[in-house]
Amino acid sequence: MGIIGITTYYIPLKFSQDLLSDLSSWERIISGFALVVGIYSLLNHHYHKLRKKAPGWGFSVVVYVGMVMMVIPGFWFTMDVPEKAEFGTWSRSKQTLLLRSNGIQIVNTQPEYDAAIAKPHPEDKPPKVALNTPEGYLTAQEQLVRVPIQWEYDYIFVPMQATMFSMLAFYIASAAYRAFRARTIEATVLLITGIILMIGRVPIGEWMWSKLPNITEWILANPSMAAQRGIMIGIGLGMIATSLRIIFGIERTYMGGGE
Amino acid sequence: MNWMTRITQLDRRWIFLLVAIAVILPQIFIIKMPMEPTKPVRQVFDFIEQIPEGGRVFIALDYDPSSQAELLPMTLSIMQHCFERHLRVIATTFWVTGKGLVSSSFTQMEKEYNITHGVDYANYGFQVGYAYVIMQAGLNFPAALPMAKAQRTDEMEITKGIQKLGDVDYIIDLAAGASIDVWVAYGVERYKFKLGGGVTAVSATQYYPYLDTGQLNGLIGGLKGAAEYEILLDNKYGHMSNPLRKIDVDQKVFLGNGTKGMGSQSIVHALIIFLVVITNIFYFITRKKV
Amino acid sequence: MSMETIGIWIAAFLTLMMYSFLYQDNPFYKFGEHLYLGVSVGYFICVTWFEVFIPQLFVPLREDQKYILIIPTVLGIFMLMRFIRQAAWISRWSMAYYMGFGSGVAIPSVLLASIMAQLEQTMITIFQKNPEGRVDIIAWGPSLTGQLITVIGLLCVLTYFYFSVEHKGFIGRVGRVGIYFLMISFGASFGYTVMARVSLLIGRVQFLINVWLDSIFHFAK
Repeated sequence: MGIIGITTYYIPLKFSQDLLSDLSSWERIISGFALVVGIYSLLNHHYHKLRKKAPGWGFSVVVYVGMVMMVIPGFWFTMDVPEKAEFGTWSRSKQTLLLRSNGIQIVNTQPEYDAAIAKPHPEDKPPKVALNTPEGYLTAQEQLVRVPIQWEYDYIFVPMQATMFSMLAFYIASAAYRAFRARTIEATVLLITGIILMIGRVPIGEWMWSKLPNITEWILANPSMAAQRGIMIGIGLGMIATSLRIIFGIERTYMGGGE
Repeated sequence: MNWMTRITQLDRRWIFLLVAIAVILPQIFIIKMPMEPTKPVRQVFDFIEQIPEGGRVFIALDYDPSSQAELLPMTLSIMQHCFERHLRVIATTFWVTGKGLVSSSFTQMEKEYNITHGVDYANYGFQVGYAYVIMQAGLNFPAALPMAKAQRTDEMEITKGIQKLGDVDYIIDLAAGASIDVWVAYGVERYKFKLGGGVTAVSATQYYPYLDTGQLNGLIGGLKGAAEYEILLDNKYGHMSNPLRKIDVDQKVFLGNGTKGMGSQSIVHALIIFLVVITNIFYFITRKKV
Repeated sequence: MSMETIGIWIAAFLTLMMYSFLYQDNPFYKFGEHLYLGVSVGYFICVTWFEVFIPQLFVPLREDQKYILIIPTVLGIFMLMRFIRQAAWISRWSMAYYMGFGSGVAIPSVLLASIMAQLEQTMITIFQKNPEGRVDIIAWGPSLTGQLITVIGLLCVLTYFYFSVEHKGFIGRVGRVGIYFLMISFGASFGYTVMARVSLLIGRVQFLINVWLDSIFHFAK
């Protein structure tokens, strides 16, 4: 497969390009199964913790609760706001739940609906109202903004992940304060460059000295770029060497070891 | 000497508190500071400026909520820029947990502009495979990205005529990880399309070689880059009316979280520099005395 | 109270719960951490089903009759065999296919993007055509210093990374200069890393002040 992967690049004919396209789609499908492997591994770890009642097993219950919280609405309401044709095939209770979760007021008579529509409103905030008719909900589809899984994503997943990573700001400040000592010339060069960058890349630096951002940009585009280019070439050579080792079967650790 | 040593060994929770105050205060008492957009950011802006009306821009939102503080402001600014210029936007992500961000970005745009899925924009959600998506899309776009929100690629107006990825006018990768390397290696080198980049500040320094070679034709780095882009957008479109836009122009919609965050960024940087310099001075004094 | 308001309060509560770890580890943080794990796994499951298996596998099989996709499906199922001890050896076929093709396509791509293009640009920096069409070595001009530093820096860094020769004498001194270039680059990365981490914190603070507290006190921005 490795030889095929290399040669498709150098053969510009249609059959080679079609082969590359098809094999890429196969790799994508296998990648999907690899995601399943990851999911299973994590759930399996917490399942064993639960079974053995290991210390902290109560929190493993929380993992499963969180998972169920996402999976049930995700599969029942799907992941994206449905198109009109699909929405119309849903059961009335499911449609009602989705409308209410989007804050849409449901009215049963035409005069109520007309009164709600007639209320003055800004162009970016149309009235959130739907008329319940035997044929379906009138003017409801355009009001749908979010499905429940998107709500959970926006208000549960996003804050937690963003917060966990934002804590790094505190740690980097504390680490720089406690451990960053200019003990050698190299460390001093690193510290001075770091300080120039930190000041030059924020407006306070521009306010202090108008040429500081230009100096910062020069450092990034010249000496720093030279070093990064050297690192990039080194990494590239390493990747090619590793790829060749995998293709020729010298490197087999990715298979998982064992007999 | 004792007090100097004690200061260099302060409980880290005091540092946390100082950092928190340095971030919170400028958000309450807004500090406005001048900012001149830098050349790499201008390059992205200017390239979008010269795309004719009706052109298509492909944006890969390769990040998740862990980096959204830096990359979401850029995403929204670029999308606003495209819609101000009546360009059409196709977006996807190669990160599983980034799929929701693509949806919420377009939801935000639908609040601000009169746009329709399938006509003005296409949300391709999550695409598995990373390099393989790029390679396949570079050869056969409809096969690589067959469906956007239950609409087929060959049935949507926005993707009419797109046979391969290079048929779009511009591709922008907003990357939290190393996806710019993947786009350059598997996309730009194979299919020779124009690629712009938006990256977190952590990885910004490593992409300057691509800027130099022209493999990237512009780079927006970190929250500062996002703020610069917002300023460019506000300077150009902040006083113009646009029939596509729903929100009143006076609401300064272009100056988002990027610009608003610069006050905090400045103060925290100054604080960290002060702390590092002061501890180094104390360290050398105490070392000399010993 | 709308779902959006409830959501904002839940988001703020979860944010503050995670930040409690900064004082010390506590059950609230552990609860939040495990909830985050569970919610991510649930989201992964939904995305994998709706964004991977349906559009990439089921729709092409059912509507476009692309029965050849049964081959990667079988290879994918082989990959899942790694969890059954007696059948784990089958997963090696999938891994071999996956890694083999991946390695193959990587070689020309990385060679061109990371090595050839970078070396080409460095050569262009050294040898530039002047307006008369002659090739000059390092074009004299306003960016001369930068160009010289770029070329010298790259050569010094590559010398430093060349470990097949002992770093003594001339090679040692050149390698030393390379270390200084690397330190400048790492200093730039450090400065940028501080900026990145602080930006993430600013993002959360913006949410807490401009969204959550604003929903209570409605102060204008």
